[in-house]
Amino acid sequence: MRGNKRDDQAKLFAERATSGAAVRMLTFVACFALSSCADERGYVMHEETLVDESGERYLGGACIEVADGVRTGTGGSVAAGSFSIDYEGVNGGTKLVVTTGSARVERFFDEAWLRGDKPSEDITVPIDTVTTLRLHLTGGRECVQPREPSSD
Amino acid sequence: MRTLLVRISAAAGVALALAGCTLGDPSDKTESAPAPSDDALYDSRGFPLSAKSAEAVRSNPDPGLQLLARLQVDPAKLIEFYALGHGILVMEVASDALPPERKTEQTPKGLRADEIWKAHADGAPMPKALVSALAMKSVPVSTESDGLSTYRRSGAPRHADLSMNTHSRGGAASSLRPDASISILAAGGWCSSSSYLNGSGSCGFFQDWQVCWRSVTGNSWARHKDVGAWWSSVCPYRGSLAVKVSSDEAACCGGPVQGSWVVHEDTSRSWNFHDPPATSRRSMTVRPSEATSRRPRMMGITLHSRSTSIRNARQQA
Repeated sequence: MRGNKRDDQAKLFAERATSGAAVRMLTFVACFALSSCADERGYVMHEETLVDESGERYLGGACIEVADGVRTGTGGSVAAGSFSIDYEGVNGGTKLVVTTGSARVERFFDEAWLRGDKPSEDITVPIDTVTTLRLHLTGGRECVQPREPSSD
Repeated sequence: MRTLLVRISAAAGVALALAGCTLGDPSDKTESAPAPSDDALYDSRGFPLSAKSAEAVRSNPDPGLQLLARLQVDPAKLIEFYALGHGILVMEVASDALPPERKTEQTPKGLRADEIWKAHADGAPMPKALVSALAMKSVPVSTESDGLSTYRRSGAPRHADLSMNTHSRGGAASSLRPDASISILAAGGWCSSSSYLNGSGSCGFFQDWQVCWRSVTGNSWARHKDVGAWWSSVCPYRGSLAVKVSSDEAACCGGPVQGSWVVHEDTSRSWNFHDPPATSRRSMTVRPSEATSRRPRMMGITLHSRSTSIRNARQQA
């Protein structure tokens, strides 16, 4: 009898342990799945180049992820004027707005583009009459760090 | 919010903002490398003021230097006009091509600040900031021979005589070359303290947490754990900066996961990131370039932080 009670307690302990492990496993799987889903969204690889009469100057870039409802961006002021580059996550894709003192350009990159299934795009936006900002945009499933600019 | 961000980036010399998704001990959320302590006074090119000039600046009730205008008189020499408290400080300084000691071969005597400008600006109009400063009634208060002269606002007539004394070979005093090659390097100092400290987006912004480095050289970095939103900008006034932005959690919230930019002298760069759906951890590293011959110098860094929880509480209120 005592032995049976011990067996019952052992079974209960084992069940609880199994249940706990299962919960932890499920949690892990769920988290992993969520993480994978997040990864499925894709990234925007973005490179900025300033072009004027004296030539081209690579300013830098980033690997950017934009979830739905999220806004992110960068901008700057150079001798020719100022510019802003704004991203917003919309319906699984990414809306891009580039604004300078003299122009505004909008693009929408859908999920396929973000996954790298469509070609890269170059967008050129004038800052003033002789200076333009050129963006090279690439979608991809993985974050690829753009080349680093030289600060010389 | 977008308008506010523009103001921040335009007004702040260097600003970086981060915000947390979760509440907690603020001291546990933030990390930053200590900005190098910098008690010395510098001219706009980052060179230390002479002892005499520094003493005059420090003795002023409001010892902040605000660059109003800068003229390059020749390849070796700059003339700079600063607002100093209630007066104007005019200094001749060596350009980058020379060692940082004051270099002046000729010394104008008895010139007013506007006359100095007209003599060397090759017809270029005075910047608005300098015109406004000159509109104050001023008298000269210092004629020490170290490249320093100041106007002090008083009841004296406008444009009182200004003696601009500088180091000179043999003590000879004469006019600066009238045919000198002139280029206006700065008018108002885009990345100077005047741009940075006077703007509403500079240190003292309304975020929960911020770090403000108003004058930084060398490597500096800042990070805020559990970032919800961040605003940042950098504005180097000497040399170029390499700036890196990174996130420790790549697939969480969006925004720049990894990025690097170069920010050239007297240009600015800003970043912003809003309303993430989940917790993330981001850091920003400001890494001055090692390739430049002069150490880059920033007028400041501000870290602005606002936690999601506090923001929600404000919205509910």
